Amino acid sequence: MITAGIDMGMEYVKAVLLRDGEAAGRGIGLSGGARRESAARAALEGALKEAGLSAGDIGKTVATGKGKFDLSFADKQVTEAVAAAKAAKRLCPAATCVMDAGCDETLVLTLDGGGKINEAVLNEKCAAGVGGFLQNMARRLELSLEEMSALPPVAAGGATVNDGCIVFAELDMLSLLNRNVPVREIAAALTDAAAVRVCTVLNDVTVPATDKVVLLGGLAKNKAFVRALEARSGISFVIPDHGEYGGALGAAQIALDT
Amino acid sequence: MAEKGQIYETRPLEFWAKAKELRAGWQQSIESTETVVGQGNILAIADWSRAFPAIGLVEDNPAGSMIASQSSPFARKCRLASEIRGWGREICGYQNTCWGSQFLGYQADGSPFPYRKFVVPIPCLCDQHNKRGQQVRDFEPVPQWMMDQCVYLGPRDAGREEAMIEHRAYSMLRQINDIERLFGQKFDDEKFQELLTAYSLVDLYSRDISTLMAQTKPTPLSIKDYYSVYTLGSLTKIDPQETVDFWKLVRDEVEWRAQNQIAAVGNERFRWIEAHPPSWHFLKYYRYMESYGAVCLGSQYAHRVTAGCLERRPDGSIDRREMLYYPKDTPLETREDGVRVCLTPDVRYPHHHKMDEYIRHNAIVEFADIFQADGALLAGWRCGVGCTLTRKEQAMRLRRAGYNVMFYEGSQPGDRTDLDEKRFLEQLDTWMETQGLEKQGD
Ligand code: SF4
Repeated sequence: MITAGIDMGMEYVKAVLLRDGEAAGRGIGLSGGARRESAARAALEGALKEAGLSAGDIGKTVATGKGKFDLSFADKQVTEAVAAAKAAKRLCPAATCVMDAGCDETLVLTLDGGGKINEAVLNEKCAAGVGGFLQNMARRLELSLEEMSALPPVAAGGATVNDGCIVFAELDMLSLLNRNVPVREIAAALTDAAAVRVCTVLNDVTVPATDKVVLLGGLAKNKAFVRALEARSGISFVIPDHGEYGGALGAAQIALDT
Repeated sequence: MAEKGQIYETRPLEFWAKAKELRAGWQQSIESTETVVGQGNILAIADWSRAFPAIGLVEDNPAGSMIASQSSPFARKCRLASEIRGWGREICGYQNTCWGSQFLGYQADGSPFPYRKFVVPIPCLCDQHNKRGQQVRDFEPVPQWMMDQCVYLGPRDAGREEAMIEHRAYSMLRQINDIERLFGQKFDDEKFQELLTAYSLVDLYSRDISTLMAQTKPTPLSIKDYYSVYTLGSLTKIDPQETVDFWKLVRDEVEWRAQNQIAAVGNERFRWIEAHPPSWHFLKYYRYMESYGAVCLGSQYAHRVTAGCLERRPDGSIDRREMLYYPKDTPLETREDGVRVCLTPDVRYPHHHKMDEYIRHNAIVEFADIFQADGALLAGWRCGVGCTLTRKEQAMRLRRAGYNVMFYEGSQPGDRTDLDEKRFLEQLDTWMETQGLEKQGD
């Protein structure tokens, strides 16, 4: 059976196809928040192409992500948390915790041995837009997100920006630019501030997990961010391949299971 | 009518018609107070002002939230007016909105703001609550009488509480004398006794209601229903006898429902509590949660007429919390007796969920236990310290005690500015789905 999972994220829509439970194709579409249905079609087309399938082959589609109710052809919708838990267990059966850090939401779940969610903690608003924030900051610094992510670490004691509020952080960034602080240092400071915000979500978990913590979402592939987050949290994350497709993968698995 | 996924029988509430009638009467009384103000009478901030027949009461909290619900653009204007005066954006929305209206000089409907002629600030742990008196006096020179903040930490100490009552009783008697002298108003002792007797009866009935809500599964009344009546006779000025009769009516109906397993929510599968006031302008979330079979039992705040009304005794049983009355069982005969009775719960206030930050996080766990809750929804208000203090600590303790906790954010219960309604409902979906609960009928 072919099942599809579509993660209707704010910035990107991701699609994953499973053929009898095995990953068969992935696709991504840029929605920019406004064009989610067309981005979903583009993402699905990409996945179908990779899998060598056509839309008619899909037996069931489950949507997740902020725009899950905007997808007219979904058979079912599930919350991001439920999809992330499913994906984490599939990617790392021993996972005790999963963090999904995306463009507009950060969530942390603790899991029991069977994959049941013990505790779900969502971000406060300021930690919500961390992915989107880094994207905007890269643009301001005239870097691509990939370039910003690949920057090498800077020595301690360099520039800092406000890590309590990302609006203040942006103003601090402008001030650093005015003082001709090197862009690479500013980028590191912004990334560190984002990591601090994301850590607040980890800190809200009652029994903090330090082992087998799976990191999913778009930020999982931002190397500089992961480095900063690991330094701040003391956690060494399990980062699966294609972690940014975690939500879509979980949704496709739920389509198979239900 | 049967609901989707219905497990229990449910019926509309019969007291609802009477509640609507009383609320309409209250509305009318506010309108007539405004006329009296126009004639130059006195408005005060003081609980006991009700026994001064010609004194109206304008409290910042209800005034601020009323403005916010009447007109968002006007509320925004008020907040700006307050900010221009130097008050921070992080000031509690109730206060900021009310103060702004005072600075502008008019209310949402264009009528003049009812300026206060004197203030009696009520003590509170919250710095912003306390500034209610300060900002009125900063605005124009009016007399102020202080209600001393009597707080002590540690376990309850009846001897200390009695000493506090004595101190405060003296201050209050003096305030009453001063107000009579300065404003030429007569304090109506007979009315005072009548009010206190009525309040104590209302208190008894509402404690019964809280007990029935806490101890009956399925709950016969949800907090959504309770909020439609709970200010009647407490925040509102209505006829004392009518108030007592009404609360008896409510208690009797709730008791009957409990005895006959008539549920507030026919598909009750998950019981949850909150902390402090809800987002008054977005009470829709209660109904939304009911689609999951999740019923809200309220908060310590909601059961505040009966604040902390129940307690777990050392032997494990649950009973009504013992209230200290001073002198115990003294008949209500003189003004002094009345003042003492009136102050007693106030002095015990430090041991109330809001006032003592040390017991605050433990009290909520006891509350969840007594109300047989499965989880708690806590609000992280961005403005207003008093309503959010120790919230994270409470969450931690609740989680450790086995309750499932979810947060939502907004600027403040009486302020629409910062509550993302869509996000809020999505968080509730996450809360329910991660516990394996689905919307009924889905
Ligand atoms: S935050 Fe709460 S306690 Fe403080 S002033 Fe506002 S309503 Fe009162």
